[in-house]
Amino acid sequence: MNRPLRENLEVYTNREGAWIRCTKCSRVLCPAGENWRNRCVRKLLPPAKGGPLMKDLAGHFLLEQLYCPGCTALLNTELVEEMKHGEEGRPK
Amino acid sequence: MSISSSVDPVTFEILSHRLHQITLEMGTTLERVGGTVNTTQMHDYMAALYLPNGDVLSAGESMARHAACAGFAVKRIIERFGKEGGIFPDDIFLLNDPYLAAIHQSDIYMVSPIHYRDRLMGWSATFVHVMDIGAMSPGGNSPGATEICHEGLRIPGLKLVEKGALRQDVFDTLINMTRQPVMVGLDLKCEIAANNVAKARMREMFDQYGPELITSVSSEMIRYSESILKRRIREIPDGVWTDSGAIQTDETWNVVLALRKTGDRLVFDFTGSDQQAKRGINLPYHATFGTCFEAVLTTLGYDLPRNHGACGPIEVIAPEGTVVNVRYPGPVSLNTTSGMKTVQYLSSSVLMQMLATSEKWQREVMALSLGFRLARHAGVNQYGRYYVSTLLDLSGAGATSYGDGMNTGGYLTAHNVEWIESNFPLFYLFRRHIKDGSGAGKFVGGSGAEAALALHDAPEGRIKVIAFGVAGLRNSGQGIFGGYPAAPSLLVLLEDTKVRDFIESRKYPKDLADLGGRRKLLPYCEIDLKPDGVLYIRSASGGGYGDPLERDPKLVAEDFSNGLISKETAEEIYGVILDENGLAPNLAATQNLRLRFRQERSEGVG
Repeated sequence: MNRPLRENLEVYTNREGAWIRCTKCSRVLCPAGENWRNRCVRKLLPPAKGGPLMKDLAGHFLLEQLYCPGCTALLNTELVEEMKHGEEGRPK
Repeated sequence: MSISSSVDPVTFEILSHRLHQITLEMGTTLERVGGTVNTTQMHDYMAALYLPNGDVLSAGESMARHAACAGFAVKRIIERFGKEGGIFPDDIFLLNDPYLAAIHQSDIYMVSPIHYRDRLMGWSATFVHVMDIGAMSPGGNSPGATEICHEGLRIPGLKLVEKGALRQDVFDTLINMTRQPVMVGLDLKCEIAANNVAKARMREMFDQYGPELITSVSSEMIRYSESILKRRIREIPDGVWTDSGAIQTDETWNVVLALRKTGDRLVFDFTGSDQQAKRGINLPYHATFGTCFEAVLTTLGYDLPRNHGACGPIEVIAPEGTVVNVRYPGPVSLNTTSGMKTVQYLSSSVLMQMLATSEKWQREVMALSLGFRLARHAGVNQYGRYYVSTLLDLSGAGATSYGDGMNTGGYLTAHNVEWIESNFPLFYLFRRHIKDGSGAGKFVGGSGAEAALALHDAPEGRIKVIAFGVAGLRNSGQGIFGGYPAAPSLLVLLEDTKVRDFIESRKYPKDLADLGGRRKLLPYCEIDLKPDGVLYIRSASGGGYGDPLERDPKLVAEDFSNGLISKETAEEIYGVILDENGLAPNLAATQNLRLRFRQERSEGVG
C-alpha cells in the first residue's frame, strides 16, 4: 500500500519493506526510515535565482534546491544560511 | 459526529451560532467605539466568551491565540478576586501582565463576569492594542528595552468597573501614565462597551431559553469540537515533523520545533530553542501555547466551533528561560510581531508537513509566512497635537496545493491612506502590489504591498519612527514542496533624497531609485524621519507551492499582464517565453526552454 509523503514523494511498500520514492518517475530514494533529502541532487544557487528582489539576501542566504535523482523533479526549495555552507557551498 | 442526546441538533446549531454572533457584535462594538487605527481599521482586537471557570466557550473570528490567553486572564482574575468574594455582577476587570496571561503590555485584556439572577454563568473578554502604555518607546514596542520594567504599565488585575460604575480614579490614573490619554481612554471604553454588549446579549439568551439549556449547549459545543478534532487527528498517520526559524538583527535567535503525533495527541516540543533574548522578542508560555492552539484550529478545525475543545489534543513543551517561555524579567514588547510570528510559522509548518502525509488532508496544505516588518510613528501632527500610530501594509497569503495565494489578504486589514494623511504629517508617494515579490511555484504566493512615505506639514520638522516586526531577511513567505520563498519584508530609510522636488513638482516616483539618497535597512530601532527622508515599507508576500516549471504558461502570462511579475521572471524562473506584447505564451519556445532548465538541474553535480 502506498501513502503520500509530500508533493512528488510517497511511501511505497513492497515485500522487502517500505521505501520513499518519487511519484513522477518511481525512482526509489531510500528506505522509509531514512532522510530522503540526503539522496537528492542538491544545488546551491545565488538568492537572486529566486527573483530580482531576493538580491538583498546575497551574502547571507543561498537558495538550496533538491531534485529527484531520476527525473530532476523539484522536491524542495529553501533559503539556507550561507555561513553554514562556507566557501565550498557558495555558487560559482 | 453526532451531538449528545441531551440537546436537539437544531437548537444546538441555533444557539452555538448565536453565541458566535455575540462575539462578532462585540468586535463591531470595539470598532465603532474605539479610537485608534489598530482598533477601528485594522482588526487588531479579540472578543470572546468563556465558561465560568475561564475555559474558552466561543473564540469568535478574531485572533484565537488571544482568546486562549484571555482564558488564562479570566482564571487569574478568579484566583485574585474570587477568594475575597470580590466578583460582582457588572464588574469589569483589567489585566495586561505578560507574566500572568497577556502577551505584551500593549494588549490590554478586559474581562467581565456574566451573571444571571446573581449566579455566575460565564465571562466575556476583549483585548485591544492600546496606542501607548508608558513604555520607553512611544506605542509600546520598545526596541531598546532589555527588561520588562522598561516596557510600561504591568497590571496583574484590577477592577475598572465596579457593579456597573466606572472607577474614575483608576481610569484617570491609567490613562495619565500614557503618552496618549485620550486615545487610550477611548480604547479602554470600547472594551467596556463590548463587554457590556456581551452581557446584555447573554442575558437575553438566558431569558429566552433558560440558563440550563445554554449551559448544556455550551458543554456540548466543547465536547463536539474536541471529539471531531481528535477523530481528524487519528485519521492521519503517526509521525514526527520538524522545522526551525530565526530572528536576526545584531544577534540571531533560533526557534526549533518538533511535532510528535501519536493517536489523537499532538505534542509541540520547542526543546532546543535559544535562551531568552535581552530584546522584547520573547514569548511567555501561555502565548506559545495560544499560538499552537490557533494553528491547530486553523489547520484542522477551521469549520468547528472555536473553543476549549481544541486544547484537548494539544500538549506544548517550551523549556523555561528560552525565547518561547520567558523568565522574569525578560522583555516582551516586540513579541507579537517577532517571536510569535516565528512560532506561528513553525507550528503551522509542522502541521502542514503532517497533513501532506494524509490522503484526506493533503489538499489543505498551504505555504506559510515567517512574518513581516511594520512601524509605529509618533510626533506632533499638522494640528499641533502629539500622536502615536501604526504603519502596516498587508502581506500576500501563501499558495495552496490547489491554487494561488490571495494578494494582500489576512486577518489584519490595512489602514486607509487618506485617513493616515489627514490625521498625521505623512504623505504617500505610492502604495501598490509588489512586482516580482511573490514566491514562485506551480501555484504562486499572493503579492504583498509596498509603500513609500515622506514627511508633510510636520510642525517640528521630524517625527519618530519605531521599526519592529521580524527583523532579518528570512521574514517573508516561505515556499513549500519546491515552491520558492517570497522577497524579504523590508523597512528602509532613504536619507538625503530628492523627495521635496517630487512633491513640489507634483510628480510621483515610478521607482524607489528615482528618489536617490542613501539606503539604510532598519533593524529594531528608533529613527527620526526628516523632510528629505523617505520611509519605504515592503510587506511580506506569499510563498509558492510546487515547481515553477509546472505552472500553466497561460497563468504566467496573466501574472505579467497584471503587473505582478516581469518578463525576465516569466522567462528565468517559470521558463515561459511570452509573445511580443506579453499577452500569451509562446508554447513551443516555452517547452524547449523548460526542457533545457530541467536538463541543467543535474549538470555540474558530482
